[in-house]
Amino acid sequence: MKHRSRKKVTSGRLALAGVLAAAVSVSSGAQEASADDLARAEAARVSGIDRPARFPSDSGRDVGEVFLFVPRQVTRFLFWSASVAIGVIEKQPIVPRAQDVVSTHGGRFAFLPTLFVETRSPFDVGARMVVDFGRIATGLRLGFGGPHYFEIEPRMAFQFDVPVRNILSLEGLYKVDNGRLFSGVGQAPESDPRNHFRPAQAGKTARYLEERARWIASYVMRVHPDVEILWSLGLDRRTTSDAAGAGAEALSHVFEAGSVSGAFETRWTGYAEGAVRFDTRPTRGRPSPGILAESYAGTGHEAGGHHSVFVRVGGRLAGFIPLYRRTNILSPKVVLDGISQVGTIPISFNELAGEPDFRGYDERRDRVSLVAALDYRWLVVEHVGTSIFVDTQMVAADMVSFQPKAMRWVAGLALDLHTDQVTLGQLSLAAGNGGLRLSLGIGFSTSYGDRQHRN
Amino acid sequence: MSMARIERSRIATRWVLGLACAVGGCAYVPVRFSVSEPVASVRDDYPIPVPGKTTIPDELRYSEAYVERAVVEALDPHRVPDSEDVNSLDEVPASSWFSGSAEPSYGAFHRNGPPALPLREVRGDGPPRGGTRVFVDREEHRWEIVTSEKNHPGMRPAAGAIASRLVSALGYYVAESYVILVDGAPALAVRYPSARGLHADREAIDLGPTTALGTRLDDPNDVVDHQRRRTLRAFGLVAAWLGLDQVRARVLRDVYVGVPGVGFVQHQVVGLDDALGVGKLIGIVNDTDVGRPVHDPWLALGTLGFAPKESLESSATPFAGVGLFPADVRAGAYRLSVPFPATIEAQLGDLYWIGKRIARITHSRIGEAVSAGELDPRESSYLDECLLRRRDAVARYAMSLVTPLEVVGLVPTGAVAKRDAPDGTEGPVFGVELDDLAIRNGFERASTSHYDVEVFDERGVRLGTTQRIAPRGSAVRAYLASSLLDERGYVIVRIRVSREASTASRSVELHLRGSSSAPLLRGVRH
Repeated sequence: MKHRSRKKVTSGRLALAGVLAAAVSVSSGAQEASADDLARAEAARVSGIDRPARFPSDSGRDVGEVFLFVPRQVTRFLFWSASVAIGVIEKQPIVPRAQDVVSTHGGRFAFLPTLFVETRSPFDVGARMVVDFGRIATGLRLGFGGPHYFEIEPRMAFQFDVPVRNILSLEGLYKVDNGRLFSGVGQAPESDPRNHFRPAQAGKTARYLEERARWIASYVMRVHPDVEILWSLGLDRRTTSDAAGAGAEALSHVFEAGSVSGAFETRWTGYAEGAVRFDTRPTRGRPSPGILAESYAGTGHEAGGHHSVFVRVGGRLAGFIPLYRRTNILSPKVVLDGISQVGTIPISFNELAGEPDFRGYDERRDRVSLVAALDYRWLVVEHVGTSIFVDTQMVAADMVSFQPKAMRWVAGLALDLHTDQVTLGQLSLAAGNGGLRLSLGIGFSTSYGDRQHRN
Repeated sequence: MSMARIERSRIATRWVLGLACAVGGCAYVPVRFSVSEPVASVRDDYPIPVPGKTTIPDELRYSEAYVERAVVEALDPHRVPDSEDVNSLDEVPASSWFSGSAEPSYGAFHRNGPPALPLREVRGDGPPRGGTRVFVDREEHRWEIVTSEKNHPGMRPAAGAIASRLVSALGYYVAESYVILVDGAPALAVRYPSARGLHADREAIDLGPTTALGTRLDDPNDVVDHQRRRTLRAFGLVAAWLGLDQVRARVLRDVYVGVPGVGFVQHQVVGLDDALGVGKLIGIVNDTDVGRPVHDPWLALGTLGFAPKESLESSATPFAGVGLFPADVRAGAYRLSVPFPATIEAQLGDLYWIGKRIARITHSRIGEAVSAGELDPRESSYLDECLLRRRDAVARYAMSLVTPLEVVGLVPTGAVAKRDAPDGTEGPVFGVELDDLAIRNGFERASTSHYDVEVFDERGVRLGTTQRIAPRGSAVRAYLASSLLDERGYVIVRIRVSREASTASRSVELHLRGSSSAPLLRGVRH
């Protein structure tokens, strides 16, 4: 076994079998090595060739092999590990109708490399490990992007089907992110009187470091194949400070001291939310027709420097309309997020409604955020989709203060690799009046759990 | 000079030579075969522990087919290698993958016979697939029962019974399949898991699907990457003949044969009930085929998904018991709806190999297989006609790709009649007798065919001039000066056919050893 250089491909439970095989080979190594060596010798004998053919281009190919061997093997490993993880990752609390949460027989283990690279942000390279015991699935994700970018995210989900499908999940997150962006509140921060820029800094986007610890317990009940009800309780601790190495882009350099609520403080936030999701699509990864409607409401209490109270309300509505093929999907979407301060104590700037659904840069915040998008997505080959999209986005202090003239927009295209229910990787290019954004993500689930992950 | 310095110097020399060759190019050096007898069977049944059971989700299959293979292979500068399970005479020897029988036969297929009634349903040991139930018969043999599709009684069972017999006749290990009645409706009984071939009387354990790429991790006998196996590379042409829309994970399966601990893994073809156009029809009927993108991804990309659909209408079948299985097939254009990595890497020699095996399946054997489908006479007659015409189309295509000559014999110097020696030849000659399978099967005419014969030494240096010969019927005889072989002990004879205005893209290459009085054929490549 130790002399094996050939690629070994397995699937599903063979991921575990791979580990077990190594163990078995220790216990019965002599016998396996013997069969292996004999089989190799036999295979070599079959062709009857004592000198292979040599072509004029072979020398050049050999030189190319020197440079390509390592990238090829790394790529092969990435696909191997990604492939074995597919079935396991699908066990997530979503609303698959035709294909319920993946059925498993015995435990499964998967290791999935992750990568996220985006213009204007630190890279994030890491790994996700998922262990699936049937009713219980646990996951651990680690990400690293340099000395000031780190995250660890453990998750555990328990599934039971009495009388309908229920999923209880517990998760944690510890993340240090040196690349957070904040342009100020309002659609046009440079002219919004609520922002207090330092002299000559109006209109600049500040970069800050956020250290965050979060715990979420959520309970999902699928009362109907298309309807999910979610409850969640979260506890969040955030500390913001100037981003390391930000220089003139540092939060304290762009904004007047004390003008940004919650900045340079450690704040604890308790948050409870209820949500209802109606999703008639049979598949969420593969393009399919249907309707998605989601609404949520929650209340939070901030502790720390101030004791503010807020209420969140919002929702999204999207249609998925087939054109010519069932996998050519035209999808209009509207997303509205709002947060309302209760009492007079201001809420932290990073609790304000952001632009998580906007495929440009998420750097503006306010009490209300509105995103309208139009996507057209189609399959290029099975499990590889392409989409073109246009997003528009506005934030405002309230529903009547939107300024359509200052609306931000992006248009772009994306290529994705997906299973029926989950997107496994995506390459996206978007350009608009906020600049050019190129991103590549591999191994990140875009739809795990409830809405809180979008904050 | 120390050994280390010698080694460093050797490596440096190799690099310099390599770079020089890369820039300047080096001459082609042909393969050289050993003096050994061709291998007739491969020993890949060394005792191993029972491997784990695999599952292959569709996502993995798609990932392998569309992404992994494409990306990984793009980073591999080497040319696609020849199949590695082929012996020196360009044949696939017997192994755990292939029975190696030269002639088609159903003898190995019928081992246990139909299930001994009554059947008792048992719980399967894996996730059930649609329409499949597991039973044991009176003799405690395990059977997978594939039930009929709604509105198409008998269609799927018949396809499974017919296709499994024909694939078995090609030499693959195929699970026995019989049409039986379950709850009054036709169903397909598949004897699985069961050992096949010479080991048919031994016990068997299901190990799940055969992986499409690489080898099985926990089988030390499995040392040839599956995409480099001729038996799998050639399966695309089998699919074209039998109207199999894709090689689903359940089609190729591994079975552990023998007592646990001393057995080995055998690789079988099992779930062929999607053949004869059934998979295609069911995909359309069940709406799973509607959203499928076109085969060409660039076309799908460029047309934003609006390229015309390639699926036939479900109404294109003339009978309820028959799938979308037209009599005509364009073998060269036939595409599996989900690519199977091994078939993508198929070389011309691989296609020719399976093409000639398909051509050997006689009409009577097709008739036998069709009758096992137990369809009504009109449906049987239709399938019989389709299988025959598709057989010819597929075989004709395979034989058009290469120079389809098979060596019949070598004629030593002393046995060549003087009148047989070609004009202008001085001194004694020896001969090679060949058979043109394209002419023998009636795909081409002798009157429009001729062959150019060239001889090379083992380093690829050309010897003498090109000789042009014509066939007599399908028989082709090439005579070579005895001195060519006697002086060198090894020559390569390259023969390329031309028919009317076109020349075959590949020559057949014969490697001869010994002397002209006792020539030995030690290598063939198509």
